[in-house]
Amino acid sequence: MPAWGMAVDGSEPMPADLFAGIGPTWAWGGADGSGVRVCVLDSGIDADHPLVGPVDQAWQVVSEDGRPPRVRECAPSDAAGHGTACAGIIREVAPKVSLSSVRVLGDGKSGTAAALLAGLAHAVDEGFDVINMSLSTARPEFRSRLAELCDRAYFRRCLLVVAAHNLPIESFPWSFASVVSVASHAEPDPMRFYYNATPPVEFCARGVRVPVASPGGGTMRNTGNSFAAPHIAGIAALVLSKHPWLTPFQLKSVLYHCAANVSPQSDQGGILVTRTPERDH
Amino acid sequence: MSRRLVVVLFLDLVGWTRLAEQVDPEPLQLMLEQYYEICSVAVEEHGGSVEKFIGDAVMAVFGAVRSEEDDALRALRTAIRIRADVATLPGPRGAAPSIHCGVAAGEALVTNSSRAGLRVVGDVVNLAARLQSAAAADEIVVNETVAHLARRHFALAVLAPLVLKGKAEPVPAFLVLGPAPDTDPDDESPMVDRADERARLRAAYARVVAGGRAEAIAIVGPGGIGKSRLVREVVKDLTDDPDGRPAPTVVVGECPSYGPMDTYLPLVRVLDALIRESPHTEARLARVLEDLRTSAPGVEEIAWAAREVLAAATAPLIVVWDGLESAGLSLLRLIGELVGTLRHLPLLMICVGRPEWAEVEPACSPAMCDDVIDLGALTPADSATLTALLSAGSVDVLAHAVGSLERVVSHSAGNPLFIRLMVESSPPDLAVTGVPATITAMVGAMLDRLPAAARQLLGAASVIGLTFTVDELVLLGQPVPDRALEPLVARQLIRPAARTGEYTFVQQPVHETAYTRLDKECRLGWHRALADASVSPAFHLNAAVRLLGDLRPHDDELARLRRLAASASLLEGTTALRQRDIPAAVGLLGQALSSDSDGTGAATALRLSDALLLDGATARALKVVAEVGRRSADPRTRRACLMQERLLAVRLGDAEDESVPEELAGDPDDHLAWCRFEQLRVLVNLRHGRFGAAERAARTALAHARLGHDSYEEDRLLVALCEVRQWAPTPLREQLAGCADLAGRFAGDRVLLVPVLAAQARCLALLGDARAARSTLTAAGTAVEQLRLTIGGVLVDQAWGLAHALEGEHGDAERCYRRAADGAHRAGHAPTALTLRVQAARERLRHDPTPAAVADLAELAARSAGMDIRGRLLSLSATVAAAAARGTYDPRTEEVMTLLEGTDDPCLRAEVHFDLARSYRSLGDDARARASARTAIDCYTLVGAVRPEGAVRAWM
Repeated sequence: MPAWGMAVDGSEPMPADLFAGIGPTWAWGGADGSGVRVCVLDSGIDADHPLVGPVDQAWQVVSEDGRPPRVRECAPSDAAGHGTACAGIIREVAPKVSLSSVRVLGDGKSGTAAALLAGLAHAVDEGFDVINMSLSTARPEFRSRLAELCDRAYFRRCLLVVAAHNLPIESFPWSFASVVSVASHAEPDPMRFYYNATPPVEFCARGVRVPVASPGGGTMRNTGNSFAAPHIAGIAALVLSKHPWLTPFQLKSVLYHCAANVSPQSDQGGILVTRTPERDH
Repeated sequence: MSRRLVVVLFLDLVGWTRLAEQVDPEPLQLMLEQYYEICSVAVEEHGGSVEKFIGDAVMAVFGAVRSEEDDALRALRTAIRIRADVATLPGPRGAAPSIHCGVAAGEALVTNSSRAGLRVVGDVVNLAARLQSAAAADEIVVNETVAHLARRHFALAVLAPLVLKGKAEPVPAFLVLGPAPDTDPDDESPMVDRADERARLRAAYARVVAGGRAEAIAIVGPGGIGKSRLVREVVKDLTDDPDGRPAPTVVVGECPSYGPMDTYLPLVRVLDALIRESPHTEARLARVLEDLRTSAPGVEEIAWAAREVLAAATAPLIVVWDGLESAGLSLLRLIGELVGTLRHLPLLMICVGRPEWAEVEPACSPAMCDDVIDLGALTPADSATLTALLSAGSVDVLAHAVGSLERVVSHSAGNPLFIRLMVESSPPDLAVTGVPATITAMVGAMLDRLPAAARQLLGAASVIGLTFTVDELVLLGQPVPDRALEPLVARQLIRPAARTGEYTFVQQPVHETAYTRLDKECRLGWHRALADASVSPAFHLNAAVRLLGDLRPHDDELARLRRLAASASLLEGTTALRQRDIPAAVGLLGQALSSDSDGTGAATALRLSDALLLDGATARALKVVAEVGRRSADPRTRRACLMQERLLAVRLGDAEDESVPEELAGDPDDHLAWCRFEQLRVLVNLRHGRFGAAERAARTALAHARLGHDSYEEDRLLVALCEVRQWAPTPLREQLAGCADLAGRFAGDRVLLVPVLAAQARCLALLGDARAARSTLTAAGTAVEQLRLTIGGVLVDQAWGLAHALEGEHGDAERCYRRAADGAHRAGHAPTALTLRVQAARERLRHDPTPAAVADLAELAARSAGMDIRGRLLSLSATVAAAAARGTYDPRTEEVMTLLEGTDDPCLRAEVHFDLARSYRSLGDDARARASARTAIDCYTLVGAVRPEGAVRAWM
């Protein structure tokens, strides 16, 4: 099980009954993601993969020695397969979104901080509605630069959905308050997610043995918070396609009210954030 | 005879042929003698064996008789030594001769017979010879595996890949530049955890300093677990941050694992280091120390000298004895004696060794120390952290896929060295395959140090699997006397498992290395023996098929073995499929299909197709049957596959052909094909609302399954029948009896039981036994909750909806139908979800007949094209009734009548007729109202649904 998941039972009462009308049906009932632009900041997207479908725009960060990295348009391809896997999940959840890609990772699912910063700045400037980042850096020297970019996105109505690290170590930017941070649960339902009352992770979505697009056109099962984040990115895109006026702050609140462990039905005017222990699948 | 990782060294003299032409044989012979001598001595001193001399060429092998973890290093040191020594030979023509050398590491078969002596057979031998030809004068060229094994200790340069005779692909090659400068062994590896052990050692030091009294602590654990690292970290802690205490003087005596037997070498190192600290040494002491270096003085003298030197230390002293598993008994005795006699000194002795150390006499074993720290494996979480930290290395940004992290964590079994070696063999995204040579070398050495009997048992155990029992070992002709497995447990190679007599390998690399070391004939025999004894037959038969295919691809036995493997895989795959362990089922059935496409073909292909369908891989489900059908020579296999293809086409909505194919009509005994064909009919009839016909087809299919003795098909059909019968004109009492039968049959499998319970509850509710219905549904609901069943939940909620509706609790009924609809939607069953929404909307209208509720229904009725017949009828008739309530006749009443013609579901018909009756009454047409109500009553009577029938009568 990747790290940063929620405790099996927390028990903080939350007054949710004031918002009884806000739930999955209100949030995304009948929505398909149309009109929402989602960017996958990753290893690229393979547009030929049947589970991914059309990729509207694709860029890559080009780094040359001694020069600042530049962002250039490129063909939608993905040698590592990680970005394609994430994109396939978003497409599964929100079939009609517009998907774009900024490639910041190399073929080995790793990359430089300079490329990440340049790619993220570009995606924010492009005005995407949702940006999925299933990656992080553990280097504190990039913390403040990343935090600035995440704040910029937050105020520009661009929702950053970021996967928590798979290990109990600190890294960025998923641990920032300006982003939506996602860890894994082990259930097979792509639409089921939980609110996590113990920070820094805010939501847990499907992330264990997820069937994902694999290089070459098929599917394979993979595990990691990397695959939990795109579920929430897809759901956020669904919500935005129905309620385009939501700011990241409001959208995060809507996600909270739609979480499987948050319900207005309670005898205390609040709810208990509890989960039954997971069966090991 | 065994397969093992060996390091092969080839070398010869440069320009030998020309020299032989120009120089007389006598001086040449003299030089050769000296050259042979140099080579033999160097090879033997480094623990290798010379396999042969041919003219000026020498082939030596390391690890053939007994593996050491540093065989590659030994081979390189040998080569360097020979190169240096040969350069001092007087050449017959003045100039000193020089050599060129190739070294390759890889797997080889090693045999040792009295006639041929030691023989090493394998590609690695040819490769070493080719590398040697590619090396220029004075060069040592090595293959990738040697480079990998040696890169921490030797500087290497990458050469252009060599195109070698007899090799299809260019071979990566490396030039040895020389020994690498000493690097800090901890540079590249972060320290994870071990906080408790560190604290224990620090506390011991604090006691030693505070009390001025010596203590000894043993640290015991398998190779690579981090013993030396732990000591280094603690020493560093104490030196950098002594916590107000005086910093210790630290000296280390390490026992070499090979080399000339020198019992006191570690002691000499310790004493030398101490004397450097305090140079004023008494003359007599100095002489003993000098003697120690050259010859062996008496043990008493040595002990005295050691005591004197240790006692002369000015600061608190930490003496580390490392590698004590290789220490001579005299040294161990001396250490024990020192611990006992130097109690009055501020001295901490840290004695470090592998578990083998415990096997010497008790007085010299770890028990002689005051405290023993058993250093165990890292926890999986710590292993994962270490893996991630190592693999992140110098990388800034990393994706958050777990990838093969889990594999590293499970294979390394918490051994930090294994983790590092695995990560090093595959940076940076950990696409780890196989066990890296570095680990094979380590594990191989560990295995060779085992007593022969224990090694033999471990080999047999590795064939059985990661977990094995004593009985299974006996089955393989390996008697297991009392305590025979103890050496393996003591070395932490295996550990007792949950059941008595059961053991499991601690580390997967140990299992893999033990297995690959067995020669293939031996593996083949053991796999077959296990399969014959019904120990995991599918696994062992498939392994036997692979091995026999490798060894004797033309053996007549191979075909028979394949058939056996296929039927075992089919059997186990079917069990997995019944347990809904889909990945296992797909794997096993796929294996069965590839082993034998003719014998068990049809059933295998169909079940694989079912498994793939359950996994959502529709295209592959179709492809499997299409391919097997095309390939098979057996007409029945072809037919069964064809029927499955057609069945899938119907399921996917691509076709609806239910005519009996000609080739099937001619063979009434082809039960499997008939069975699937009748299932196709079930589907088509269901789709058209002809539930009676669907039930008859299901019964026929069931009969075929029983005639074919196919219990897999039988179970499938019983479930289907129970489902279909609910809507068919079968009396409820009969349905109920069927449900009771099935509930007994599926009592142990609640996933199958839940739909039966839902059907049972439906019958009970219709029969008017509301209490029994509720308690049945409560039981089913518990199963749904506990097992987190989606479809099961839909069925239970749907039945709850009906139960509430029949009792007039329409608000509750609405909520249940809605929940069922949400579940069906999530599970991707769009038409069912729509029908359930219609039922919810109907219930809403009953308790909340507002315009909003009417609009809700109208919105749904507009989507009737996407519904099944039930949804269409129920939405239309309710719309008609709602219009009538407002005094309007809805012309779609005609459409309702037409649709009613198409279905024979009595309860559905009754419900719709009752809707019509109410419409007619609203519109003032009492005669037609009564006629419709009577038809509704007739429909209910047909199956004995007394509860809703009573409601209609009451209305009349």
